Amino acid sequence: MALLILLVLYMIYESYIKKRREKESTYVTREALICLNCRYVIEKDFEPGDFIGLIKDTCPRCGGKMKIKGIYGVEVRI
Amino acid sequence: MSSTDLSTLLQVAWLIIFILIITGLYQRIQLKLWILNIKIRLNTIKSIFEEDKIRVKNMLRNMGLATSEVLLTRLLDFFTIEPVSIEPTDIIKRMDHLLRLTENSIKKLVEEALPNIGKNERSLVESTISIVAAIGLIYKIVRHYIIQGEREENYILIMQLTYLMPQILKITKIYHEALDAFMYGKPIGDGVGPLVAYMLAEKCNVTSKRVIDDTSVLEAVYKDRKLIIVKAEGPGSNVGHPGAVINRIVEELNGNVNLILTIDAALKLEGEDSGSIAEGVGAAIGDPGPEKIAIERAASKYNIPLRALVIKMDLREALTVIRKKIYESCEAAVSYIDRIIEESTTKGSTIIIAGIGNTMGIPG
Repeated sequence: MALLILLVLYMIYESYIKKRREKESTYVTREALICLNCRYVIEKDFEPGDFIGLIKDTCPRCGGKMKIKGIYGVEVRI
Repeated sequence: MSSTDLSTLLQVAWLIIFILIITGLYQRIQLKLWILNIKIRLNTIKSIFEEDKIRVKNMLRNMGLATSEVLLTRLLDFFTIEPVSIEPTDIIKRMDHLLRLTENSIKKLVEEALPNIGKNERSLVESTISIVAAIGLIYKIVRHYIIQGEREENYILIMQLTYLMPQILKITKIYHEALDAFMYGKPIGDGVGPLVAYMLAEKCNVTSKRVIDDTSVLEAVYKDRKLIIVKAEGPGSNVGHPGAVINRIVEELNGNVNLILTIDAALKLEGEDSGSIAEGVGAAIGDPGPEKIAIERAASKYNIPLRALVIKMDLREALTVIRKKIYESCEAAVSYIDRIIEESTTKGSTIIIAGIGNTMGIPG
C-alpha cells in the first residue's frame, strides 16, 4: 500500500515538473536606438511601423537624431 | 472486510478484466480515450484559428477593407499543385514557374483588394494571411483524420494521431505567436541572413544599389575587395529571389567571382545553443529548390568556392520576433564574415555575400 501511495505521489510530482518545464516564456519587443551624433544608445518599446535603420526621436543627451539600431524580443519573467 | 469477501472481490475484478480482454472492449475504451484526447486538442487548434481569423479581419478593416470575408475565403484555401516528379526533366523550371505564379497571384489578389496601401503593408497582409491559412490547413487535416479514424474505428490511425498531437499543437502555437510579428512588421529569427547583410553593408562603403526581382543588390568596397551584397528588398515581408539574382550577377561578371558566401538561419538540434554560429560549404538556403539550385549551378559552372554561414535557432525562434541573443549573434556573424573574407580571398577579389531569409523589419 505504501509503495502504491509513493508511486501516485511520484506521478503527481512528475506531471507538475513537466508542466513547469513546458511553460512557455513570454517576450516583449524592444528596440535599441543609437544617436547619430554622440553614439548614445537607449532602449524602448517597439512601436508599430518601426524598422531597423529608421530615423526617429531625438537624443536625450545631445538632441541629435536617433536611428533604430536593432529590434529584438526580450524575455519577460512574470 | 473478511478474507472471503476480499477473495470474491478479486475474483470479480479478474472476471471483468478477462471479459474486457476476450471481447476486445478494453481496446474500445482506449480508442474512446484517445479520440477524446485528440478532440480536446483539436478544439484548441480551432479556437486559435478562429481567433487569428478575427485578428486578420480587424487588420484588414483598419487598412480600409470593409468586406474582408471575400479575400480571406479565396486566400485561405489557395493551393499550389506540385509539379510532376516522375518525369524530372525541367522540374526546377516548372517548380519555379508555379512558385512565382503562386506568389504573383496572391500579390495580385491583395493588391486588388487593398489598392491604397503601400507595398510593404501589402506584403505584411500576404504573410499574415498565409500564416492563418497554415493554421487552417492543420485544423482541417487533423479534423479529417479524426473523423475518418472514428468512423472506421481505425486504432492505428487514432493512436498515431494521439501521439502526434502534442507536436502538431506546438507547431500551431508557434504559428499563432508568429502572427504578432507579421502583423506589425517586426524582424523575425529567420531574418538573420538579411540582418547580417544589412549590418555588413552599414560597415562598408556602398557605391551602388539596384533592385532585381524583389532582391536588393548592393555593391560596396570593403577591405580592398569588391563586395556584392544580395538580400531581399526590405523592410516588408519578403524573401526575394536570391538564387536567380546571384546566377544573374555571376553571368554578368562572366564568372569572375572569387567567393560566394550565403548566410541563413538554421534549425538547431535539441541541446544545441540558440544563436550559435556554424560555417560550412554549400548554399545555405531553405527554399523548395529553384533558388538553391541556381546558386549551386552558378558556383559549379565557374568553379567558384561556395561557403555557408548559419545561425542556429529553433522553429519558435525562427518564426517569431528575433531574440536579443540571436540579434547579438548577428553582430558576431559579421566579424566571422570578416575572417572568412580575409582567409579565403586576396585584395582586389570580388565576393558575393547573400543574406538569405525574410527581411521583414530590415531595410535595404
